[in-house]
Amino acid sequence: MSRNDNESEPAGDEIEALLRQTGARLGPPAAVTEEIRRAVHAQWQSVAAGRKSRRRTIVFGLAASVAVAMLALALTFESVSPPAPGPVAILERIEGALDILPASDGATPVQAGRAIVAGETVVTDAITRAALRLAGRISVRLDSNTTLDVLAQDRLELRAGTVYVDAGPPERGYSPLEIVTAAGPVRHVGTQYQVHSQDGHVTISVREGRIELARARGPEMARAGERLAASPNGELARATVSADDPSWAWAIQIVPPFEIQDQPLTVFLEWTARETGRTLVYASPSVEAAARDLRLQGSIANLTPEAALAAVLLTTQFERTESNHNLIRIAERTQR
Amino acid sequence: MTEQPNAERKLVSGMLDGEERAFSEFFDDYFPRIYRFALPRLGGDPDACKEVVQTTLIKAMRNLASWRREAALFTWVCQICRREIVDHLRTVKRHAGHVVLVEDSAEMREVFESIAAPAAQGPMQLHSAAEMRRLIQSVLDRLPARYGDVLEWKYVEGDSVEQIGERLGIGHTAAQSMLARARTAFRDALETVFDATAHDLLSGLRGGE
Repeated sequence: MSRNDNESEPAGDEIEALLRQTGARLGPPAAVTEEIRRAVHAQWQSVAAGRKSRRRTIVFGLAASVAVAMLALALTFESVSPPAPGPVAILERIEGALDILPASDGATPVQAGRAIVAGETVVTDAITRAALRLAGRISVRLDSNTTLDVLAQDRLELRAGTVYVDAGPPERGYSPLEIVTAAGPVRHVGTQYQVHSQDGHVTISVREGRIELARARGPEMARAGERLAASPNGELARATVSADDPSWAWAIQIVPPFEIQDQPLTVFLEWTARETGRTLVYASPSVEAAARDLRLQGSIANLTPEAALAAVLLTTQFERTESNHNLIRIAERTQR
Repeated sequence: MTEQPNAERKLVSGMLDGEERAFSEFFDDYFPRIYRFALPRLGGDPDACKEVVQTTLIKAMRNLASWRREAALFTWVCQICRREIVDHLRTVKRHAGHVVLVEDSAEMREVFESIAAPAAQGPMQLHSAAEMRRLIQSVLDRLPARYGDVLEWKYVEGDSVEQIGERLGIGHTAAQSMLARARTAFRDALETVFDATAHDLLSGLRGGE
């Protein structure tokens, strides 16, 4: 230490001695610092960008109001505004605080039920997830740190992050959807799958049905249980992924609300099996018939599918009896 | 002490305007302090601390425009952090006995929060040497405008004034002046929190070992 920097008063020496006795404060680990910095930085950029966008809107609004007033004089009977684009999706559930760009009103937090119009971008930060439903009835869930451009009701662009798509059971038919990624557009055939994109690396995991990745050298298909990994240099690798792989778990945390009121138990059980990636079986045809005849009352709001299944079965004469974790097996409750 | 609120106002305004330098200044200054604030309150669990601090700072960013300057910026971020800690503990129910630190008592919180502008004196019962050290480190974290860092660099790490200036991107004179202000603020804060001088505390620490 350079002594000539020290103050001459004796109290300075006491402060030095006290701090030496106390020792250095604990510093956060470098890896944690870096990870948190990235997450906080992304949120800060989103906040700052939203404010800039709102300021531009206000400035434009002032200029536009003058222009519109002048045009109104000249074009009394003509509309000067382009037709507003219609909604192409609706936000079904938000866990955290979502940003939708371009921001129109920073004072009002985005809430479930808000319509999304073509051209808007949905952004989740490190602690936010969201579920939206496209007009074609396809459920699209956004994991944290995801930026998704909604281009049309059947076309999305994944700029970064992870989306999970559930186009519904194959027997119900399917609505087309194309997800534009750095590796090419991904199209599905009645399926559940997720697409992850980060720095040009794209991974597509298929849980049910099949998808097609359109590439310059021809389409690549992936079926249930397969995972395609495309690197920025064009290489493609295949791997396997089970329906209950931990990588699907986040999508269950943001599962859209499911109304059980007056639904047959079988419909609820099919939904649970689909959400958890398991196969539903009944102990006998008579058990299935009895489950179909049973109408449910109440709500499973805010419960995960697993928790909802446990809660609902407790109120019925049925129970789970599976010994294989890939199954949900329903049987009549045994009397004890 | 009007210098500090102005500096905080400028910092927040720069961040809201999208200035990268303001963000770096905020993160480098506040993140380690909030981390140290959260860690002991979460029973020393580093994973919980990481989650809580990240959520705290993200919420701080999200609500930055609502900071009304009634509280110092650090106090405001600590308030967000306290809520996150409570939520976390409620969720995991891991720490059955909620960790309560001496500075979390109502009386001590008032005293700690008055550090930026010392006013009322609060009596301080002396604790064990280890607890005293932790409290003195908490005082360093509560000092405004990186004063705690400057004092630690100078007196614990042994940096020269030139080196401190380089670390902060300021000249020798400005660094020397900042060091003098930091010493004064630290001395005042010790008296506010402990009702004792550096000399008394030093004697207590040496005698307690």
